Amino acid sequence: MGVNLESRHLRRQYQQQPISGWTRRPDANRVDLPVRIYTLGRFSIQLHGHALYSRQARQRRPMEMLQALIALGGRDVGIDMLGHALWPDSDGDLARNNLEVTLHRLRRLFGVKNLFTLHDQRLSLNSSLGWVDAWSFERLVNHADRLLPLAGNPEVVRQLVRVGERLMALYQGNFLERETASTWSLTFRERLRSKLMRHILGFGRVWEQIGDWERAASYYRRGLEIDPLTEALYQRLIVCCRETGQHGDAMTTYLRCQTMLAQHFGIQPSPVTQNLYSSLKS
Amino acid sequence: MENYIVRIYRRDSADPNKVAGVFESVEQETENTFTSLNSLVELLATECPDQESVED
Repeated sequence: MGVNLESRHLRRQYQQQPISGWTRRPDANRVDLPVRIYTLGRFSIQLHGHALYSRQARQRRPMEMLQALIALGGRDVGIDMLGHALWPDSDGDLARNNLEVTLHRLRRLFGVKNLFTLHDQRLSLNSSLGWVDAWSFERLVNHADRLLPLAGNPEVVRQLVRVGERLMALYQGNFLERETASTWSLTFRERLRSKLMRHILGFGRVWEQIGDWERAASYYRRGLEIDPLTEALYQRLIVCCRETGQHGDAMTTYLRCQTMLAQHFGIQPSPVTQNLYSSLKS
Repeated sequence: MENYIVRIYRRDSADPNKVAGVFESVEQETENTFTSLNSLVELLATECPDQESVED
């Protein structure tokens, strides 16, 4: 169904009165979809451009259901799977009853018609009404996967610059990192994190190949902020610093790598890293 | 169910037992490092709670 969200008439149809305990904070920006959900590094929701937040602990379960729905893919998620994720100790009937009650509360919280659809025992978050940062991140990663092998083309490189910047902007932190970890959230969290780290190295290589050392270095530094134990990032950063004549920074990077590996694992940098270090002194 | 995250940062191709990584226990919110598969198994055994016997 096509939705003109600028239409006041239609928008009123989506809006229903939220239940008490939830308020809309007016200091957030307007957005093009009625619902925007941020899960990377934080958990926050914007409803019609206003922040939605809870003051009551009893809203915890509906929010957990939303989080689990997102982590499990968000589309056509079997309600048995969702029920098991949220109430692993409950039997099938009890879990299903809990799920129905919680889904009802979740729908009332948002008050957006058709935001959550249930067909054939499968629940979906309607992506034409709700935007999720983690999904946007995954779509961009998939797009980058198609672009990276074509990085010899200058137009593709220009696209990669935009995609890379957007990816970095979206990934504000790990998926639901401030929420209590659950099995369902961990799997999704680690998958996104792993994709980011892989793409940081992939993008960095492209920037190196076109001689954009500063951009490559900024990617590697960002990667080290996320995971300071990834030796490959130190290696590439040393190369970037060396190529731009920043030998001091290259030495500092090596020493930091050496310190981190010694502190955490009691091991020395690999021969590859040590050779890079030697190249700095020659 | 117990949840752990194991990250492997280095493998020695000549010696499969030599791996360096981080072992995180999600529930306990603890993080330990290991430098061999044996030490990883030891960490897992240490974290493992007492098992209740299950009778048919």
